[in-house]
Amino acid sequence: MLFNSSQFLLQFLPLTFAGFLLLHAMRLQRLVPLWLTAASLLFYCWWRPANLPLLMGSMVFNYVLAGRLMQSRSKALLAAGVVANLLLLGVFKYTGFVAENLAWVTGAGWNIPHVILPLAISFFTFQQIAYLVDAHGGRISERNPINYCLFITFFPHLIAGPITHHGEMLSQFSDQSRFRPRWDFVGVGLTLFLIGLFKKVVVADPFGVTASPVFAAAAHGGGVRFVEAWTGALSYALQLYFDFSGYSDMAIGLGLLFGIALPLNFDSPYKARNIIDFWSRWHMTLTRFLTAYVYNPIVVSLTRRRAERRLPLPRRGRMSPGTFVALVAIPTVLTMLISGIWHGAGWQFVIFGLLHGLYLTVAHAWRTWRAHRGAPVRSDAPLVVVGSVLLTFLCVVVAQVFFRAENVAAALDMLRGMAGLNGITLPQPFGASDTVRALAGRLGIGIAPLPLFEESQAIRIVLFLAVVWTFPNAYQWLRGVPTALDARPRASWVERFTGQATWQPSVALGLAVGCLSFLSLMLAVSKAPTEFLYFRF
Amino acid sequence: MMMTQQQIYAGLTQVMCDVFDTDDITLTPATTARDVAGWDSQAHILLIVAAEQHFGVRFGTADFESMRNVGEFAALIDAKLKN
Repeated sequence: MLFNSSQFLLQFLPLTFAGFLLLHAMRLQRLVPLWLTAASLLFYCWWRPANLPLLMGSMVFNYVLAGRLMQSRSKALLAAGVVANLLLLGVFKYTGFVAENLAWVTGAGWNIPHVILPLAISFFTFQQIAYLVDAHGGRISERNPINYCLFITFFPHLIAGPITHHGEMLSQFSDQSRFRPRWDFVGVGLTLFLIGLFKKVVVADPFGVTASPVFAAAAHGGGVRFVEAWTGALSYALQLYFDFSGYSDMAIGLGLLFGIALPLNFDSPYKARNIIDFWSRWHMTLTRFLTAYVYNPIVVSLTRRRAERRLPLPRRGRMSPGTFVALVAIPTVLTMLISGIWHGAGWQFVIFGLLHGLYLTVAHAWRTWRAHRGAPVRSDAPLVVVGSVLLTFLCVVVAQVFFRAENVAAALDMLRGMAGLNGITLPQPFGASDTVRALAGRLGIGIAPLPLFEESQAIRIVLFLAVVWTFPNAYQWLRGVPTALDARPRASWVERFTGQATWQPSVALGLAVGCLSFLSLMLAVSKAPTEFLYFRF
Repeated sequence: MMMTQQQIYAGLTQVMCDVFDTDDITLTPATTARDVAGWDSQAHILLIVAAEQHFGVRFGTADFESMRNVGEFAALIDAKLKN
């Protein structure tokens, strides 16, 4: 079920919430986890009931195995459990990709069956691997089976994150002062949910309409020209941003309706000044999972080996190039490669991961080099800030072209177009000015109607890039009240400037949010809901 | 091998001084990564490995995050030494 569908908005959510209130009113709190688990399973199987046994089987398997691991602490058993989870994910996600490439290498003419990816499998697989690792490490205290099921299936985060951690969720489910209807949380939760819905249906979806034909043209025929290529790439950058940001706001808002705080997942990532900063703001819970369960174990094991062999180790951030390659570059590229493949089966995702691995390595090398010279790590000069934000954004957009394109060839065509190698043609209105026409003629730039471009698109792109770069985000605006788990929003310039620009429940604000919500709800229920982009991962 | 709390804190202080290349570190159970200049994610991993070597123990993936607090770090070393 989609958050922006009328079934969810008008039936599922009101009924689930009413049941939650009723159980509390009847002093049947202990049934709340069961009620919400049942509701979440219904939410899950709305799309394809056939996948329900898979989700249930995976939960039972991991819950039982974790119990065993807490007793035996067997490393082999842990390895078997992790492999089983990865195999399940692999079978559904990568069978087609591997078979296709094997067929290409061997020249076999196989008929490759198309496997439908079960919703949410990438997300619940990661959550449960973390649970197994921590069970083996003796870091699990709560073992209530229903609460465990709710931790995996809780519908606000089930399908596209945030990727929650058992430690932060199970403690909330067993905390009676937290896990109950609280009207202060409900007001904030609804506000966040509606902000998210607005971002999705009013902002993200129209950008998708602009981006899709450009990427389709790149995949079928190619030769996408400069202006169209940039319009497509920037529209997609904004679509992905508002879609994922909107989804994350809605998830956190929904959690709050039930008194549950979910971890922050999105923190104005396009404001990042370098790529390390970007990944600490974009899909934050994925970064957190990969750091804790992939990157750190790799680096610790490599560091141990170097220490045992008495090879040099970094000192105060300084290290030799060899140490840098062994302890920073290799683990970083490997982790981002895994991140890329996790996002999808296809060479474009491999390249997406490798590109980000490369970006991060360059950023770390830059830091290490500056540490060597004893230079300050960061400068706040306005020109430096603007330059670093733009450079980071450019790198992100280039990688997103691979993320979105149907295949590598289409992505390369888009990038050729953005570099001006497919020819530069300006749209018609530029032809109105004689000076521009003469200048364009001298530079070999054509002026002609562009079928995939309208001026209004360019205006919208500029407008929303300005919003993304200058507006405080929802959590900064709501900083006076509890929102995401451990949210510590930075003070925004608006707040510094006016002294107060944070959310306060008032009639005027209620009316304003109400009007925007009315617009979003009308849009949401009046047409077929579009899928959230992160559902396919 | 048994160690007193005092010995564990003395050992941990020595490990930190080595990793951060300084003599000026005073640890209390309440000290966290935020309180020590240079205790970033890279230094954290060096600390883990240096502490493993110093105390002759081995930490697991699940332990890493809790070790950003000196009190928990020391308690974990204590528990590993008793095992």
